[in-house]
Amino acid sequence: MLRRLTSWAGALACVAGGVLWALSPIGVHLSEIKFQTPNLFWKLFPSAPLLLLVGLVGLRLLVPSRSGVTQKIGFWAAFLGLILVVAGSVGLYWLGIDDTYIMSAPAYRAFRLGLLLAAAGSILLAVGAGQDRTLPPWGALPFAVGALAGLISFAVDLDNLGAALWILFGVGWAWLGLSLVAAAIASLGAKTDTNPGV
Amino acid sequence: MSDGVTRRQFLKAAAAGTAGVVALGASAAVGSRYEEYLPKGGSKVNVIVVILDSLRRDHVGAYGNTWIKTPNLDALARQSLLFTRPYPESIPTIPARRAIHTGVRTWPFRDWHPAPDDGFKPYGWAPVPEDQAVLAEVLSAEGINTNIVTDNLHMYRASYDFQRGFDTFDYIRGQERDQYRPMMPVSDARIDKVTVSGNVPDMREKMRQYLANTAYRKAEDDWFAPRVFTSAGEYLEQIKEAQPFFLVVDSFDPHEPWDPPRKYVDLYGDPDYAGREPTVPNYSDASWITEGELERMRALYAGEITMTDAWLGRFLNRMEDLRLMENTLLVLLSDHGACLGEHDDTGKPYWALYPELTDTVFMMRHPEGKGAGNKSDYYASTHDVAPTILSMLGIESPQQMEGADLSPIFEGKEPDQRREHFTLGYNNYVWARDEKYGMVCTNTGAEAKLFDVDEDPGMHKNLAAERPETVKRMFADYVIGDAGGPLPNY
Repeated sequence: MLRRLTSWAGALACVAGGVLWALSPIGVHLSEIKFQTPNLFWKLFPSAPLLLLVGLVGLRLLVPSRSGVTQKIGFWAAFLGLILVVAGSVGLYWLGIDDTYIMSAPAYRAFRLGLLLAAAGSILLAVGAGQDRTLPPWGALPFAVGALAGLISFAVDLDNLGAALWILFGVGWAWLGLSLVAAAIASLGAKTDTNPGV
Repeated sequence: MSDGVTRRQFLKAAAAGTAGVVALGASAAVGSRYEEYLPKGGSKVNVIVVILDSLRRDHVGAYGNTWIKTPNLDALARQSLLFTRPYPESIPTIPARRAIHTGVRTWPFRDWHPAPDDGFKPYGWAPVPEDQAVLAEVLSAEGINTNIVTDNLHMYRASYDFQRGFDTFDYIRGQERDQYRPMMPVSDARIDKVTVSGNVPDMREKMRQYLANTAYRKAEDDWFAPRVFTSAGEYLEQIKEAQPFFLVVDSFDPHEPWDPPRKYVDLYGDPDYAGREPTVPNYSDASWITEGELERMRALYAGEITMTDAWLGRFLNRMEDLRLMENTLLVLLSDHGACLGEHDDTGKPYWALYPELTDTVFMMRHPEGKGAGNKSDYYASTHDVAPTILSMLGIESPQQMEGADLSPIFEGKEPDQRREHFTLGYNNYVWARDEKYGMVCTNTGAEAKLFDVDEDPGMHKNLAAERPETVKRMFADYVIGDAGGPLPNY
């Protein structure tokens, strides 16, 4: 029961976090129009990677024993990356750490490093999950494509193209969540079929 | 699981694929409407680069001068990491500026395409090549507000492009030969007052333009260094609202004409002097000028330096008042010196690659005080400025940049780029030095002169005839080695 709850929570967190992530270029734009600064949006941004973290943990709890080395490395890289993204953005926009350490800018650097780790880890996670059959190919493949798009957009500022690739990263995570939801519904159906009297 | 694909699986995969394509297309369509998606951040340090044209190293107190007043440069040096042996990788003004702004060596002047509207054409004197990124462009792309204030007329000629990458630029008109005001009203009698009898006609014409340009002067703040540093101070007031910013303050002073207000000249020259003023040197040997006139010219140059220093000081005070010292990296350097008869040369003749022309000033003040009061004998150069700034801001340097990142020296470390020797070029002449020797020759290796810079730092006793193998080695290993092959001759 707890495991089922976790998988559902994880799946829904992936969907919500992915959608929020995908909406961030629009959020930056709106924040600039309304408040003449993108920083108000960035203050709210940590909710997206936090939701992805919950989703990631849910995914991990769902399939702990079946995951291979690639998937494990991918999980931990993505986990650490998302932690850094959250910590970096909180440090940057809530705590003002970089205002004190103006030369080293630790919060910003953590944020950017976290993005790269999260994307690289997501790619490994998708590949590993596909290999281990813990995710259906139709769930893993778009997730991998989205993660790859994210990796490119996080590494270099590509303006419009980068914004599109950033969105795709969020879409990939949302897709992952939907595939987990679909899998959970399918497993419910399968149990209903095999235990019609229950 | 069966190896074959069922109709249901196929439909599911096809639907997923279609949905994926739709998601991709929708993301691209939505994303293409927005440019900003990465947060801005990183180092929040402002950067100010101050360039003083024609400032000789041996004319600054911090470098050991005892008779010229440079209290502000000296105070800044005490707060800075001071390079004791900096050299420009090429001379004069424009080749040096290209190196500063691009991080690329201008020497050995290959693919030189001089601008058609410029009469002065030493090798490498040309706009920045279009395929080279400039520092301001790189910083601007990172969201840093970029600004330049300069009275350096060569940078804003019609064919030049030194405003590339700057959000705002203040070009202060009227220096030297800047075609700013019609020359017709300037009489020969007025030119006589600011030249001496040995000045060539070209220098008299330079002064005719200069006098026309500066006819408006009433008080000291109408002089060029005051105007540059005052404008730069006003910029500070505004751009402090847009931190981090990048500001270049490129002062043509203490370049000639050397005509500071009299109070500065009288610090170093006879207060009762009433003769003609040698404000401009011929770029030649010193046979055109008498010893008395040369003495006066030295006093004029020293006065020009003290005036420049005084107004630099006001600018630094403005920084202090605005609390910008604590979050600003300040780089100050000169591009070359000027000959005042030391080797029987005056001005900047191509062949005169002696300390009075090659030895520059270079200091970097860290906002957190790192390296303050320390000295480095690294051969720091003009093309190191851009990569150093980018490194300190945590911004990746474009691949073109070949200068050294000097920032490790703040931490007491050595730069990655080792320099056991250094080379520089000026038109068709080259100069090289290592710990022991200094060597000067033409691009073909002719007219070679060799000096023991350890025992003879002023480079007066030519040893080339005694040690031809050393000359040969320095030309082959240092000059040709650094140039990557034979040097061009245009």
